[in-house]
Amino acid sequence: MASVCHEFVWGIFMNSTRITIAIVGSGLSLTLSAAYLAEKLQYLKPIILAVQLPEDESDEDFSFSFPPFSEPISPILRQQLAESSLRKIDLYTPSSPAGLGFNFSTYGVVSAGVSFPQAYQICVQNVADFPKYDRFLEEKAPGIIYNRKSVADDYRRLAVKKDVVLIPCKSVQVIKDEGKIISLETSDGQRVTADYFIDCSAKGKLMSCVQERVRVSDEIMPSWSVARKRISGVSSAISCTFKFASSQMTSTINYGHTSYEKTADFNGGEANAEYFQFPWLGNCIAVGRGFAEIPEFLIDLNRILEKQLMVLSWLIGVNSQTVYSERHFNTLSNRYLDEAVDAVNLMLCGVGFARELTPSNQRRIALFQSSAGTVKENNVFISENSWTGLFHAAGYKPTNTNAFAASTSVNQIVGRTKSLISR
Amino acid sequence: MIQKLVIVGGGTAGWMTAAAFCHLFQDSPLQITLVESDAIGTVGVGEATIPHLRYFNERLGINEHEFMRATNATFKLGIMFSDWRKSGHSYIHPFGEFGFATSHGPFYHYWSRAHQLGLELAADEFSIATHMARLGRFTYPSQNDSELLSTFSYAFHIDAARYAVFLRQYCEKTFRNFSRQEGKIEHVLQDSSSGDITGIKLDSGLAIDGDFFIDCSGFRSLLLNKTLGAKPLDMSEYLPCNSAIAVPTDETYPDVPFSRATAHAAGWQWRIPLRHRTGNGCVYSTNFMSDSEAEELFHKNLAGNKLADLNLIRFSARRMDASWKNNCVAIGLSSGFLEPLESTSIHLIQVAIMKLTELLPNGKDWRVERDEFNRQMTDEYEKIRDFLVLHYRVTEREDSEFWRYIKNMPLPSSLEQRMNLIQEAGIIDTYQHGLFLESSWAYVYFCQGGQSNASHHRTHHLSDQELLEHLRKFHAEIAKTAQSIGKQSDMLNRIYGGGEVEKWPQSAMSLYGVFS
Repeated sequence: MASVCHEFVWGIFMNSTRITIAIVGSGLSLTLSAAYLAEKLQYLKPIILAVQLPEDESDEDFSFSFPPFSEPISPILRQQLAESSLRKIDLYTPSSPAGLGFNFSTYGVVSAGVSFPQAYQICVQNVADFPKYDRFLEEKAPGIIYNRKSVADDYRRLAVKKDVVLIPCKSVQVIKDEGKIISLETSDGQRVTADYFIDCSAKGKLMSCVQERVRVSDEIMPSWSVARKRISGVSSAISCTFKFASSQMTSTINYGHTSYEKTADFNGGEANAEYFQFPWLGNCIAVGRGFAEIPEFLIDLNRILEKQLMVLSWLIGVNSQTVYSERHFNTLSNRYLDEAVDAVNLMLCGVGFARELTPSNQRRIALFQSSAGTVKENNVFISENSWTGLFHAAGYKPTNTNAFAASTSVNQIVGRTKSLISR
Repeated sequence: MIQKLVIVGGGTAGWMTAAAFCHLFQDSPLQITLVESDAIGTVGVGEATIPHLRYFNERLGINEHEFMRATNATFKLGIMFSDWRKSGHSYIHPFGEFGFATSHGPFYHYWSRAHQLGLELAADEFSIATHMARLGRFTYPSQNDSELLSTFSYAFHIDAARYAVFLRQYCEKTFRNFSRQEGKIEHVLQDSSSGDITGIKLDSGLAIDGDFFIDCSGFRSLLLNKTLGAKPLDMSEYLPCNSAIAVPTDETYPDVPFSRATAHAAGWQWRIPLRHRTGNGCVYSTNFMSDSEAEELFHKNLAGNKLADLNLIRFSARRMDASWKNNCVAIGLSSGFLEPLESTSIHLIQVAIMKLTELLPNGKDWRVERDEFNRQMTDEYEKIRDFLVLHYRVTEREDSEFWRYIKNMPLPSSLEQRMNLIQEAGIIDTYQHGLFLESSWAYVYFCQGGQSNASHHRTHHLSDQELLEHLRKFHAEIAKTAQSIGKQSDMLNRIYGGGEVEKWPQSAMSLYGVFS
């Protein structure tokens, strides 16, 4: 373990051809990244240095996630699920505009040859008091609440077992030359050199030394501030709810007898939605919170981090030339972020907190409102049909269906859909 | 709701469209009219198909064996590409998965590393479909996904003209909401303010009005291009072939369940074995080969007696800037054409029909759906274009002006990135929507001699020795399994002779035998 030693330089193995990766961050982002890369790059035998910064307020106690769980996090979640320290939940938004919950199952059902969103619309048009959209999803694909600190600890132990070197410190200073990071100097005076610097720190402390962040327009994602509260002895329920009121969105995670409440106020604040246009630039790679800052509900930044790590593990250490790997990584990272931004923007517009839909949301909503259609995209987090759930939750309604659904027997569609619900 | 749908043009596109709309809208008041003229010939594109056609037929409730008998079909397990990488070299792009994926990653990483270690077995050797094709064997894929025989899919070689006749009978016999009108179109009627098409006037004087029109008029693109002014976007910079000579011959190959595409000095030649004849064609670029040179070359490589005169077809690789304008959608050649190298013509017809039925709104304002349809079709065309260009570009050939042009021509940026990524990191980028997926890219890229500078560390849970042993053993298992399968001719004889034959398996919208 690193000690305060001003002379010691981590990562300098002059006679070694082993690749050295320094990961900088805190909490779950850091330990997850370190453990995952140590596992996936094991045959490369890299030297992985995890520079552990103090946790900040974004390192929350609890988080929720929803399926499909990504490869990096699922082994630990599965294990925790088996140990019952993890709780299944249904996500519910009692005061969303439409009063609907949203969930993330695949909705892969077709009713009488008509896609489910189309069938649902026909049912709503023709049957009084037809069940709300979310009713079809109960018990099918629950989200989960997990203790981030506990999962972070699990990953830390796993990382250490896989020979990751943890270097705790209060802060790091970046030493660079012509835009390239040469090394890091910790607050303890230790120097860390590496072939790659992976930045999962809040606001991208490393990457911000080599490029500026781009801001998402305020109309699409207004600035916000966050207040967190921990309340004991409230309820024994296990649940996660979202409430919208005035300019505030409050997410409450009840976990046993403790409730964790996070309120994001979108009426201005110190936090802005920002990201790095080139999350892989030179020898610096920004992932998760190091890559972007967005209001973290629906899709938290660790989901993006997981996806980025999965891509990165196929690209890093394969070739000394990385021009096209960087381009590939950047394209995918931006695609993941776009989808997350779209999901948040949709809900913010639905409750009137944001003034403008993103262009891709405009396309999605226009098609949905016109004929209950769903846009075909390379979705990663939210399946095509799950977008429909979000549209309903955000209060958007179709005015019609496609001609095929409209031409199919209503009785047939309603009967088939009812039988699907009753399963 | 649209009340009157008018399809302009018969041929494969027209009749596939008519059949799909008749079937899907049979309980609706929609009236469907197809206008065609016996005096106008059809190009009859797409004698070779891809497995998705099975899904189309199944959706229409068509009996697969009846369809085969009606179209003189044989089975197709892939395409044999000869002389593409270099003279004398051949490989098969099969309808099947590339090897097997492990928990560590896709098979192509293992093959690529083994290849760098000196493995003598080509990429296509790791497909059961390739082995079956070379041995002339055929059986239906297993639906048990733990079995090797579940890892392939199949399509057909068909007489496209007979397929159109088959679908015409299907429409006329089955659906009361359908009518066919014989006649040549003299005039297209348009609304003066919106520009929407309101009807067509035939040479007989008959006027046919409609709410929505589907242009299946082939290369003429009578409605979309000539009437509504859609602009062709040229892609011949990347795909320079612009002519084809086609002729059927009487030779038959009962145990050849694959198409052949043999490269030559300025293009390539196809051979498609049907039940009763063989379809042949020579595709070339007139910038590099004259018609007479092409004809001479074609004849040299032709087997059997010609059953018709040579049919010269001029084309260019292109697509319209919009497949849907106003109240008209173009399907088939009227919307665009990419050369027939990977049998994608009928597939593009099918995809357009499926997307249209999904997006066609119940109201009269279809601007949103139109834009989405055009976006999706553009995406389909561009992905297929990239895959076709890959065949030409990844080669050692420099033996003619044509191949030297190909070697130096600019690439679409999407393809350039994709190829460079394979070379640099050994990664094949994947997409959710679009025709050719990871396995197809791997087969064509590696079989044509494409290299990767990466030997992926994630395969190193096996030592070099273990990897080579493992792959050789797997290959032997594939070969042995293929040997145990019966000849295609036996299966065809049973289907055509009405003998006892197992039922065809459920279809899927996949090249790879994945049932979903």
